[in-house]
Amino acid sequence: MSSVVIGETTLTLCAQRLLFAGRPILFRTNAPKIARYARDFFAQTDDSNLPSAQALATITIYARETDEPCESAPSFRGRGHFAAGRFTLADSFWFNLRTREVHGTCPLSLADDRMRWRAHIFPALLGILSATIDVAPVHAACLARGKHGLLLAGQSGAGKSTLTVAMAKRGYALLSDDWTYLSATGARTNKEEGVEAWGIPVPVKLLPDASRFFPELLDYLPQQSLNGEIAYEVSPGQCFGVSRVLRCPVTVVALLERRKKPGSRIVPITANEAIHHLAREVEPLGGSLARCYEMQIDLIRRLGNASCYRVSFNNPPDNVAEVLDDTLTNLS
Amino acid sequence: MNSHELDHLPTDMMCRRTPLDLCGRFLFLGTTVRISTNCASVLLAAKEAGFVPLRGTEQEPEMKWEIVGTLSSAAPVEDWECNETLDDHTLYLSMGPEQWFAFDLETHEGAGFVVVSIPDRPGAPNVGLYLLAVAYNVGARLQTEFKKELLI
Repeated sequence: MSSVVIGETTLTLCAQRLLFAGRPILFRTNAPKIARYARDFFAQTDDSNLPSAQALATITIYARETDEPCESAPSFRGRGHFAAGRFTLADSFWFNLRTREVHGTCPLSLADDRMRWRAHIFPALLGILSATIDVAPVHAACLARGKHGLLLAGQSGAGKSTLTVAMAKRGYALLSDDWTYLSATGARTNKEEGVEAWGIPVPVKLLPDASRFFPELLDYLPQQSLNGEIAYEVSPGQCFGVSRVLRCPVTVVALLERRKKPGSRIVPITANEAIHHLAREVEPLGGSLARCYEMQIDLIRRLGNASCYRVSFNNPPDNVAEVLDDTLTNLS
Repeated sequence: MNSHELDHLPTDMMCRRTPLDLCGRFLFLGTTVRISTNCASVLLAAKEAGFVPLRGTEQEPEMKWEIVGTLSSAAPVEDWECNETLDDHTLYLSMGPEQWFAFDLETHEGAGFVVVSIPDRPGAPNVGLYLLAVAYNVGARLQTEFKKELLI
């Protein structure tokens, strides 16, 4: 336990050191439920392996009693090294990215909403914070099998999530279906070498028409997601019985794109092409955060040794997964 | 101000990169501050909130603030309360659901968002209230800091 003075109020906080993409974070809150959600969501640190006891970033969340409505109203704005985010009309999350601090207040009622913390709040906080702790979020799904880690990149609607589920049902461990976090492999030992992919335990998000391919979804109801889309947000383990993995090396990058002709086609591309695709989706940061942006691009460039492909398809995800699986099997 | 000046790039989800083409230099509590913005009404409101315009100085300002005007076709709500959140390094001011200002207590850099109605009019009441709230709360915090320094 620790305490912090906020305004004129001294709060007693439960503090715990957790890991995000291999980077240590100090997480503090006065709400035992939120502390538990964080413990379930983040990876645990093994302090003996950390070179320094100092956390890279601090997230402090204060839950308070209020009558304000907990109506969903997501909004995110940033300028300079500051940002502010909100998920409902009654909460606020402040970011000072220079000091790597997040300071949030929320109503106690929000502390009861475990799914919102797992599916929306924790991922959004980490997405905003990631640049300052040398983590590069890439808009790509990720799966692992054996010594291979496969990034599936593509714009929204390219079919990342459906193909990810189809691959996971073929025995690949699912790391992420939408955003994957890259960090340096040697970050914890100060011997930075390559790059590895990390996931967070968020639900898999599938658009309503995915139930055509995955009848398991018919047991669930699509709901409004953080960006306003109506989608299924399901636990891949519970819904599909597939396994998850927290991190893996990246050995293969596949750029997904829809094509008009039926069927699927896989062609090798250069690593530079894949790197360029991933890098252009990273939000440029300027001013005092320019160094953070450069670090993110450098992390993506470390994928230069990966085998890279363009996957064009217009057929059910099971069929694409089969072709892609064959290609990866031949790589081994 | 044309509406396109407030548009942000399609990928700029947090409106980080809205161009701020206007700039004013002021004296505020004996400290020089440069306010960059995309709205003329912000600079006018700063004067009315007690910021004294400085002319003909090339000196690097001691404080650099950026205030982004966000376009609203509806009249901005003006009955908001200013809620202050303070931690070890930063003062955060929340002024309604879409307006805020953050001030770094160490670097004295500041940034925020204010709702501006179309067209951007000098003397817009919401912008004036926003700048008054910023001036009052940041001013109070700076004075507390100055007093602490004097005691040391």
